[in-house]
Amino acid sequence: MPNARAVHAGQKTIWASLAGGLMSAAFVAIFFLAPTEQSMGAVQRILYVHVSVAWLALLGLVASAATGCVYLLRRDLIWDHWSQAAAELGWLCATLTLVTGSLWASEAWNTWWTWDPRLTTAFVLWLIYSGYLLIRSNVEDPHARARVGAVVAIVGVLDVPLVVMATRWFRGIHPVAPEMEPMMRGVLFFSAFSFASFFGLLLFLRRKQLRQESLITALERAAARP
Amino acid sequence: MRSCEFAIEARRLSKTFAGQVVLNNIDLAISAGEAVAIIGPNGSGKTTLLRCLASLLRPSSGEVFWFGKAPRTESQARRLVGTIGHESGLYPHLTVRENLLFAARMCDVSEPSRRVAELLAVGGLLWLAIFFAGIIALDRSFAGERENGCLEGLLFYPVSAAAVYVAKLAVNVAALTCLECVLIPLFVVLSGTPLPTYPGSLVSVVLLGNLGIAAVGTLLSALTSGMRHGTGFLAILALPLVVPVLLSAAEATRLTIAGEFGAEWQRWLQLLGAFAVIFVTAGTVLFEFVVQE
Repeated sequence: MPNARAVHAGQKTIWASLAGGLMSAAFVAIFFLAPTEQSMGAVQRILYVHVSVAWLALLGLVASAATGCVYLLRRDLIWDHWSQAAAELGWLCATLTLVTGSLWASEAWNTWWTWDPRLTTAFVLWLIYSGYLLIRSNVEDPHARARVGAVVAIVGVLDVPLVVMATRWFRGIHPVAPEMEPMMRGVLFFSAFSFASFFGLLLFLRRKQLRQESLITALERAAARP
Repeated sequence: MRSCEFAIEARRLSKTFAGQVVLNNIDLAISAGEAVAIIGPNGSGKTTLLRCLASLLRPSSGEVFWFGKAPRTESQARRLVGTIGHESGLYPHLTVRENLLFAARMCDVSEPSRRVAELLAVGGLLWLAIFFAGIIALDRSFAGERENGCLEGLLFYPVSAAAVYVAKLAVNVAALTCLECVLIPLFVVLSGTPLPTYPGSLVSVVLLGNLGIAAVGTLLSALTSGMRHGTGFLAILALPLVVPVLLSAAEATRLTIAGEFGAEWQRWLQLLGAFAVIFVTAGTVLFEFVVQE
């Protein structure tokens, strides 16, 4: 009878290989399958990465808020681990969104940054993530920390619609759903899917790490008591 | 018969410099009210195109029309379109506001200071000032309760925790309003912004804005009041979270001062109201989780 740990390790290997394989396939598609765009040339390919991580950045905050909400109702720390993991990965995606966006902008608009509505609201999203992580690091008790995180994430998620609708409600220079050839659209969705599966893998691994950290801390506390 | 439907039109516009073709058979039609950006790498011909469209450069072939008239040949037609080139023609020793006022007075624009206020970001400045001053007040929301252990006493009361939140919220809205009674007149005097034509409309914008800021601030203040460096965290966290409120309030204020109460003003007011309601609801629901272990 295979023991649980071996089965788990097997599953993780399968998932890791799948995610890794998908990511590699996505990058091959981005560089070789997607047709070269007319006006911007090769630089346009950054769109596939930029849009994928941008969607994940929004998803991360939604996931963090949702799991935080469940924590507040159930008070099981496992939900807080999901919440924290989602927020950390979401922060990473938000940072990558701003970086890849700036790289594209330096070629397309001849500037690294501009206070366009979509860029500004994306920066606000990044600030919300950063605030979440900062304030959590200041609280020591795990349950208090979980409460703080959940409240901040829930209030923060109210900003997500503003980021999404910023290009439609306000006038700015960020592109709004440009027309794309079917092949480009296909590569975009495939790349978003691959990034999402990689994000999911990292989420599971990080959550497991946080749980093990909390178990170790609990053991240390129990050992320290006379 | 030439059509007048386009503000600026170029037909088969070409320009060659010493054998080098810079513009090749360009057809362009821009309608009135449209905002068009021409972007491209250095040397791609943007300035050449714009100078041809502005009638400053004679095209090698093709034609340019402004509202159906040819600006190169009909001098009266050159009144129809304004141009700013690489040299802006602005006065560098005057502020932006002074430049705009000067131009407005030279062109006999009615109510120049009101029109200028409409264009500048006075709303944003005012609301940032309100936010930063207000955050100091909001930070003190729960200071008294922490010191005396009074918070537990309040929570022991046979009312829901949400009632405590609403009470604190009301006090904070009142505090912000008192702050604004001093801040807004000071702001008007120092920035030279004209008073709005209907001051009552400004009151509704200000009250909704206060509600939105106080809703988030009161909730977060309960969260941060026990922590080290709590004030810093409150400011860092609250600012990105209240951005929707600050944004809508700033735009609504700008339009109120300019006296423009059309569809755009209503849209901003609705957005402001929506976020105020959302934040108050969120605060009411979440407060008990903040104060109870």
